[in-house]
Amino acid sequence: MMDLYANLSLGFSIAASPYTLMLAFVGCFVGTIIGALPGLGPSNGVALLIPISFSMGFDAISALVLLTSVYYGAMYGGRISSILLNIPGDEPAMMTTLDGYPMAKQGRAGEALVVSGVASFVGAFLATIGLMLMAPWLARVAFQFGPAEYFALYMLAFCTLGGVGSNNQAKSAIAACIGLGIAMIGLDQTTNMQRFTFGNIHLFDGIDFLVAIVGLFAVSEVFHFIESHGKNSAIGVKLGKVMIPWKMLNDTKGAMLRGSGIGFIAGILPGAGASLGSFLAYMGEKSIASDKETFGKGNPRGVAAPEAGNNAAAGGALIPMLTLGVPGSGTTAVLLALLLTLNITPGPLLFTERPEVVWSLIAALLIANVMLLIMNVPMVKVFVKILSVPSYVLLPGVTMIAFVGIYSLTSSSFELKMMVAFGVLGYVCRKIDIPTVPIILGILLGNAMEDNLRRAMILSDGDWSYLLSSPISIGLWLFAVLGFLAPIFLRKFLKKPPLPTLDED
Amino acid sequence: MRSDRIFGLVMIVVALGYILSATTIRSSFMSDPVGPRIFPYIIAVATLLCAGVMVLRPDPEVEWPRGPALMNLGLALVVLIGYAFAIRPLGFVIPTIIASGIISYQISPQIRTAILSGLGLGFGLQMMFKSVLGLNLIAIRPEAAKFLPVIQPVVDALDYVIQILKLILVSVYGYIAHLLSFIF
Amino acid sequence: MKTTMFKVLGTSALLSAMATSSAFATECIAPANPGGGWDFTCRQIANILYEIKAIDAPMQVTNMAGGGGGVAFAAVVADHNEDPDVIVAASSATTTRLAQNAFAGMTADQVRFVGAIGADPGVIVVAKDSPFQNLSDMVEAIKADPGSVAFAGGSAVGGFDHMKPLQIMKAAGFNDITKVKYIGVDGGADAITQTVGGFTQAMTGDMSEIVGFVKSGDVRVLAVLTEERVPGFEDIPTAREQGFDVVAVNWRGVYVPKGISDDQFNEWGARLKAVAESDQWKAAMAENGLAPFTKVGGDFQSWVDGVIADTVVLSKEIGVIQ
Repeated sequence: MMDLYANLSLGFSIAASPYTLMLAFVGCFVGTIIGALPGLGPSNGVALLIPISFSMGFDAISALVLLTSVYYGAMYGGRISSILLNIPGDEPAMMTTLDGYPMAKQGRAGEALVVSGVASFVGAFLATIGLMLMAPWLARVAFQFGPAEYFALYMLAFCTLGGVGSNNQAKSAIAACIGLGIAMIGLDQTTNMQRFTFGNIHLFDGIDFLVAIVGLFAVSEVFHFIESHGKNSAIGVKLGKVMIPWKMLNDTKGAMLRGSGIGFIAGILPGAGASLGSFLAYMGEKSIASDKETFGKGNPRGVAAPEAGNNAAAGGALIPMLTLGVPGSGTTAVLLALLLTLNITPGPLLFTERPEVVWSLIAALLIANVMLLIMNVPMVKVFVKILSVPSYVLLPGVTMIAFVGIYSLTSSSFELKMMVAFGVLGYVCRKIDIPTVPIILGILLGNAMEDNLRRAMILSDGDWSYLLSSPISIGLWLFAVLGFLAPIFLRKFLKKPPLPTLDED
Repeated sequence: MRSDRIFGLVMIVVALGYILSATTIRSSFMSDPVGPRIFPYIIAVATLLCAGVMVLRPDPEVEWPRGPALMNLGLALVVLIGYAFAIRPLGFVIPTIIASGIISYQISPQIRTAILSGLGLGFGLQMMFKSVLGLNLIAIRPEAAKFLPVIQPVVDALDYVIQILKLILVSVYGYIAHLLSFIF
Repeated sequence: MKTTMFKVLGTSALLSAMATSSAFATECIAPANPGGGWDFTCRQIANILYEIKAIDAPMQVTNMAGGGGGVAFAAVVADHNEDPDVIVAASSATTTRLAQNAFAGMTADQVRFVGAIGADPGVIVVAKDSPFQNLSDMVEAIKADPGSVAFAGGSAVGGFDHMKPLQIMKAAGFNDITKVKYIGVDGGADAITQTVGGFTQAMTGDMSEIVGFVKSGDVRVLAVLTEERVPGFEDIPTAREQGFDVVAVNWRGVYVPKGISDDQFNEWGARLKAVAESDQWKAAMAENGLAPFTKVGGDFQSWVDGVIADTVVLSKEIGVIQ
């Protein structure tokens, strides 16, 4: 405990200098805007800013503080466009759209923003505390996860997908299958053989999930908007006076705490990341709620839980990244790249060899969180202003930003055409009520899932019972089976499937 | 009813094609017990099952756009695909002005605002990405600049302004940092 | 003290703001997303070349991910064939893929390999509680029961990390190499985690991937695959001194387009030599577990040709290519 205090004061002595504070402030502000702009999220935001921080000649700690502030800021900002526009800034913010957007349409946008802002703070703050307390110790936990355990973990993610976004389990499952099928495209990791590439070199690495996300969310929004001429679409949502809904905050505090816990654990698991964190937090909250049918229709707890989970996962994801060098998400992968370029090698020894880096980072995260709470609750209108540009500028603007973002990553027009194709797919899916979230998760997790299955089979010489050979994997499989069966079982008690509530009302 | 059935049938065809394509995946003789084909097969079979359910038990029909609305959507699609083709050979500014102008017009059919937002986005985003964020974004390719020589000078002038603003900002910041250094 | 720090910060920001306004003359393409070896190579070369004034304007670093480097390779061959201002980061992975025809029919002679500035030595690592004390223990165990030892590595089957244990087994006179168990995971850190967790018995990878774990005592390095022991890691024996004549290093270098003149080719060679000899690069190497390995110009090109020929032979033997 004394160690912790000494370490923290070391961290604050570095991070609390006016210069670092200013960097944290700039990072938080820019990050929130990046997160709030539809189609831009933490990973492309941080990726965009790495070259700038280099050209500005920052030292390691400054660059780290600036970019982690952007990272946290973007996690906060992602909820703004999710709630007001029904466009998640990036994949972890997806779950927030489910209840946040219906709340906004009911004229409760201000409340949704405050609740989600506070939930983000709770999630991120608890996760940072958790990072502080557990990181040195948690460096060992990842050693318990072998191929069989990872496979079970991914199985759990897909089996619990059933109830999200759609009321038809076949449609959720087919969406997951589309995603998994797309994930198979590219070089097969285990044998180095091409699959479904048809000799096209752009497909050798598979389809980048950023292309899919931007296509499915941002580009399809353009089609949707043009069709409806704004009458049914997101951008018409207005934000009234922002009041702090104390009662609602009190009602959702349980959801926030549970969401933080689930999200934090999901974030720690390498490869799971923030998407899974917000997703599991939402599903967990829905499964224990007594008023399940109000989820998806504007239940504040459906906003609080995934937002807390998503931000807690962002903090949790730093643990495997810092202690093992294994990034838990796309964004931590980018942060890992940043550390390596700054000549900081993450690993079990980082905490003992470079304590000043680790602890000033932790101190900066704590400071950034407080700043973000202030920016995102009383000052949220500033960011909403940025989003309240007229739709005939915002929509083409978003489209062009989406194109540039993808173009700057790949420098090729093939990915742009692919993105337009995903836009069409997203439009069709939205029309016939096929959720797009499982498609993304399928693309994100598909390869890892297959690779782990095959690694497990190599290690066991083809003995399938190896998948159930450890208590961890048995536990995960049990939860997976329960998660898959529960919605089917519960649906029998509902007289008739409720109509989709995401877009029609 | 119909859309779900059509989508289900399309997915059945896609899944069968997927299986067919998967059978042609080569595996080296070093291969693992599972091999590169089993997992795609599992996915395809799951897709067939779900698509079957969609065909047999479809949800109520949804309303699709028709007539002018459909034309509008088609136009938007053509614009986006054209944009994807044009951005590499022409550079960023010209395709952006045209594409965002058209989309803007589709949302709010006023020529003036459409032209203005096209021009604003074309030059504004170029400035934001290239001059402010430092992305390697080519405003206009020399080949295209021959036909529209006005673009490059405008971009350069705007870039100059941004650099001066940057310089002022950095100097102010340097001065504040200098002042702060006396306090701390 | 503080005053000067702030002044330095202020002026450096000022200078860099002015510097970014000038045009980029040269470009380094990293054929992958930010992070990872190729990106590291490009960014270090770009920074150092400008710092030591070997180039007048900052070098632009472009990420062109795709096809395991194949997209950038194709782009250079097709669009930049006579461009003297572009270099592309490369490593052993590039030549391994070229040798295994993984770039859709493109071949190594479509570009010129201009130089390497450092190398990541190959290593064979076990967990600290492993029964294997040296390389012979492990080799004997595999000879007795090939299924008893599974290797984890950061590359796919047939990739560079996979080749290392196979080369050792061949050097030990064990020819049934397709029986050696190998799983490809996502990078060296993952491979170490699997090994320390006991899911695999050994890890094959690069020195830079294991530095942190060696210092923390979680793993034991059975052998480093270099000719001499690596500076800074003198207590790690080489495979060669244990009787297995295998040298496998993951070099870090660049290639240039085929169509540039010999003078331009030699100029890049000289620039890379300057980077390799700079203090900044030496510091970066020590920090990242790289060993000195400088070969430039025609010398490097012929060395690369030899490595590719060897890889083709071994790949055919394990059936990765026909």
